[in-house]
Amino acid sequence: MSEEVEILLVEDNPRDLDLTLRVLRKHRLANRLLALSDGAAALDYIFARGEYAGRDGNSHPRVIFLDLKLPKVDGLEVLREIKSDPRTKLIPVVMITSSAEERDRVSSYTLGVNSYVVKPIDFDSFAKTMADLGFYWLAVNRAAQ
Amino acid sequence: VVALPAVALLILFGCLMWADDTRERERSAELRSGETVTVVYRILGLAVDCETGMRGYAATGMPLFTEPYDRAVAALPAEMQRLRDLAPSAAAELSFLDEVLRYQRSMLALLRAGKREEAVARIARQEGKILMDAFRLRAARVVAQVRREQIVRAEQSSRTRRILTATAAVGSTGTMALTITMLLGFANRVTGRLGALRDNSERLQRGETLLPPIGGDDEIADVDRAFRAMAEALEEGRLALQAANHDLESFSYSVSHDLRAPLRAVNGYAQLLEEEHAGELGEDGRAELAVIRSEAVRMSQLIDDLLSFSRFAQRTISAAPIDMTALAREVWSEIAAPGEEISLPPLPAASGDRAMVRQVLVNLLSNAVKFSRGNGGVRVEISGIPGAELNTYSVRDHGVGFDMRYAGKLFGVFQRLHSESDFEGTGVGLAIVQRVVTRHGGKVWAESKPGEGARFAFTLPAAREDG
Repeated sequence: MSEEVEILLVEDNPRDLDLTLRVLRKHRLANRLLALSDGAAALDYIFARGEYAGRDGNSHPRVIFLDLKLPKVDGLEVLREIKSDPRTKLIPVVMITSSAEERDRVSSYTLGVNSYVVKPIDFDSFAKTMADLGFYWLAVNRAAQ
Repeated sequence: VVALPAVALLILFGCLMWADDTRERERSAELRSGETVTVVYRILGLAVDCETGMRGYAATGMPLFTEPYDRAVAALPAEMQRLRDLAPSAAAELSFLDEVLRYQRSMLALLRAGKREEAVARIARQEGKILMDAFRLRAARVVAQVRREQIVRAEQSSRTRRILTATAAVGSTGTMALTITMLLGFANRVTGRLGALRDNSERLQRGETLLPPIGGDDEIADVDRAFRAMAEALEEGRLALQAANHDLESFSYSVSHDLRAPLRAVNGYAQLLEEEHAGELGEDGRAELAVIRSEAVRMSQLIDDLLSFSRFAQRTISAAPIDMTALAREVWSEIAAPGEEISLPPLPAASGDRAMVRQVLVNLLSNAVKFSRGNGGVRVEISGIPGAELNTYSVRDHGVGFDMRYAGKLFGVFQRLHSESDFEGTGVGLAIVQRVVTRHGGKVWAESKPGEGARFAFTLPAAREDG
């Protein structure tokens, strides 16, 4: 990939991934999006190691959309590693999950998540939420770097 | 407990016996001393009589004067024997008497042989006097010895008496003190053991580790053992309950995460189907897709309600005084539409978990509003009656009401008394109300007639005046 990744989407459910990609593509927000399906791959990408050892480790996505329940390394652990490393802690991370559980929200904010969003069941609401998120983090928000 | 003082008493008794025995022995020694002195003087007297008789005979030449001599010589052996019995050492000392008697016998022999001059000459040489003086000296020495012994004995006796008096005083006081100490110790031990039992029951209440076993084989130890067995059973039950709770928690956590994703896919793809293949579906097909979508959303609502019910059922209550008037006003402003009326007089303050009690008011007031709309305007009345322990609150509406025959089903999970086409809802609201109220130690009930509105009442602990 020659162009820089703008959105790193970490999602293991293929249906949710498909629906998310459809919405973002529709709004032309998915041009520079990388989708990964587990937490270990996400960490490899972010820290430019393993399969991604060749990529420029100083280049970071503008936002990471992270699911909470992920295979191998779960979302909270990925979040912890990103936020506890000085090289990556300024990357905005948005937790996008099915769960409205209080303890998940508290843990995420304690670890320094930038936003916590519950995926709506109704597709119209879901589509609007995902589009809003894409616009907000790519067009509205001004990041630290 | 009684063993130690008993032993002390025995020792004291032994001491007194020994003391009595000692005094007895001292008294007989004293008597013997007195008699020894008497006998010594008597022997000395008899020896002097002998000498006097012998000298009288020598001086006068008349055998008549030997009469005291004869009497004394006859009496002496018995006296000597007596002395030997009383004090062998004194008798040994006075065996010098034999010398004296031998001299006197030899003098008498001279006199009887008519050798008076020779006898007088020996007397003049003071042979007899020297012997008698020596004998007197010995007798005096014996008497002095006896006196010395008497003095020593008297000193010893008075020392013994002093020691005895002290022993008796210290012993009896000590025994008494020991007895009291032992009794106090025993009482203390009982109190201490009972205290350990009480401590343990308090520890159990606070969920702390119990003190080490009390031990022993009395009733207190029995109670302790029984208490421990009970605590163990309780702990096992608690662990089982904890495990069950943990299972339930992971179950609801997993439900909350995993059961929603398929519903989102059902709803999402139905929508995509409708958008992308609208032409092929026709009017009926689109309507059926709409049902699929709305049922998926409703299922998700059921999941949410069930989770929220299980959370209210498990959550720990953090009780604090609640201003019920302010809380009711706050809830009403959130759920009521413009024009909907409420009568809200000041309510007595309750004590409970604010978030949980808030949910009770939310559910009851939304029900009151829901079942009143379309039944001639919404008018809701809240009231509260203060009680000593529990306050009673009630929410009255003028809605459709319900048939009291089904009142028993009112508070069950997913129980509905109205069809979904008439009133939306999953049937969890009143179940949550009941769970919250009973967990606060109150109860909830309802009364109604179809078409005449309903009244829901519940009790909550009254807030204490001092806060």
